Amino acid sequence: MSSGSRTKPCLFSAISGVILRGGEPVKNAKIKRIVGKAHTEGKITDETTTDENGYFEMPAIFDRVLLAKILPMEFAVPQEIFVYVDGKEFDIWSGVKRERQENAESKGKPLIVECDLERERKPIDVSGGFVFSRCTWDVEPDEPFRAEDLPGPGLG
Amino acid sequence: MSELSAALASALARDVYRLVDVGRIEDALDRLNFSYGRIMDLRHECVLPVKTGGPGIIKSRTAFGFCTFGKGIYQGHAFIVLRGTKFLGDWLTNINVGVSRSSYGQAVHDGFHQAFKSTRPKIKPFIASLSSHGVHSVHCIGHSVGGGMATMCAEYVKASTTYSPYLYTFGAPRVGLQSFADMLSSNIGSDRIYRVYHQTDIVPCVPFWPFVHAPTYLCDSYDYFQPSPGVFASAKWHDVSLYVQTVGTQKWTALRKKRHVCKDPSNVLNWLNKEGPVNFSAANLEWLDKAINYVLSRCLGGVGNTVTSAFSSTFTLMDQLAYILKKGIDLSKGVSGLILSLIRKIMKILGMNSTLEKADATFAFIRSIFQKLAHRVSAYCQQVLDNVLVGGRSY
Repeated sequence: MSSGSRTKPCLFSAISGVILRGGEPVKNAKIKRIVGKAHTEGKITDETTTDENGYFEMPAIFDRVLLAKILPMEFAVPQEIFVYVDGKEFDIWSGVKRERQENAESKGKPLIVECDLERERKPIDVSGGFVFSRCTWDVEPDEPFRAEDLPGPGLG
Repeated sequence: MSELSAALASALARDVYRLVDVGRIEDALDRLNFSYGRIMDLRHECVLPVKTGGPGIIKSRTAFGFCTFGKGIYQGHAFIVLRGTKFLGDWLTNINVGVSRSSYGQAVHDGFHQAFKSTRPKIKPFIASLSSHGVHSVHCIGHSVGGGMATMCAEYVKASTTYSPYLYTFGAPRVGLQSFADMLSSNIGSDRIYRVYHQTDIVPCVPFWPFVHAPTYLCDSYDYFQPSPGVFASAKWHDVSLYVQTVGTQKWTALRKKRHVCKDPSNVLNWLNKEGPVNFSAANLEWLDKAINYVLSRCLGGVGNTVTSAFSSTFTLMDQLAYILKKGIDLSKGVSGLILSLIRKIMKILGMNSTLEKADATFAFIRSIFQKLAHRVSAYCQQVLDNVLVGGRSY
């Protein structure tokens, strides 16, 4: 873990990969990433464009909060990524990051995705948070948690 | 009793954070339903909005929790689950916070009260429909400020219905003054209040006196103190995931047995009269808190804390405390020695020369000591927060 990630909560890890549509790379597509701030009001937005091979990369986003404002609060940060092709908007990533560490979305590995705009959005529970996505990446989902497996009322 | 297991209550306090202020609420509900859909009915209309911000400043309207009815083995149960806020720090370090009136007319932290009031329009019809849904048990749950708001919500349920709700809080800050805590403890029953806190979680330490926790038994028979590493309070042990980890699969009866020393009047007196240095630790702050309450109750003749807005509005809470203690010194020989011991103890904690004679204990002096203490606690909180950033988290 880098010193940067120890001192500043990571709102969205560095992400790279390819955008496909029906298996074919989508070139020159605008990608917009929106992330909520951890400790203050507001969002951070950045954008990029895919290259000839549908490849894109975006840097990690850290909370740019003043030193004195770090608080003992829960880390629960909303994340979204949209892709714009032929005047249409595709939501390829929507979730909540619940751990401060960089690469929590992929449990420590680099976040390298393959996204297909025609793929169905699917949920994955990861590092205490969740993501609905049209992308796949190398990560083991969290163990499923089912409340009905816990002791019932009056038994705790 | 049909209380929730500690594991379920802590998991709900954790997972309500999946509701965030942007993005798709439906996505969060989908994941909540994956985990809880067989024991409760979670739909979009269950989501509670709230206005939050720093003290006196409403900054945003966010999804802040949910209220819903149980099903399956939880048929007949109702759940109100609230989460913390990103503006917590504004409240923790503000020693000039005001008080306002709770559902039972008791003095409560104005910031929490305003935040709770903004959820009330949605909670009110839910509560009104409890009996028509065959509900027999109501559960109010929350972590951090969400725990503070769940506490206010439990009082509201009790004041508005015939139900005595169960209240489960994890690392919650102090919500009200002594009279609020006393009334909540007796109205809903101390045995229905499950207040879980780590010894070195900074948040339950604040706001400092005169705000106190419910339930209010000096012996702490009914709180769920949990040992955590370290001497000084920190931000790390506030994380809800660590509460879930601490609770694990333990039953409430096991979680209740973690306290080694009972803070009853005789032990409080022993602590007050003990010679030697006293450092500014989480444990000593807790003892000091009990000692202030004990000495105050002796000053007031056991009739309870009358620190309320009955005083002039220009009288701060610290003024009121100093006024009562000064009166105690002047009027009662029996308690004047106790009050002087308390003030000397605070002076020791503050690193001051603790020599103090009765004639020196003027109203202005007592007030200055308590103001110094309040500032020190506030600075301590800020230092803890800063250290988190400078040193990073240890996990």
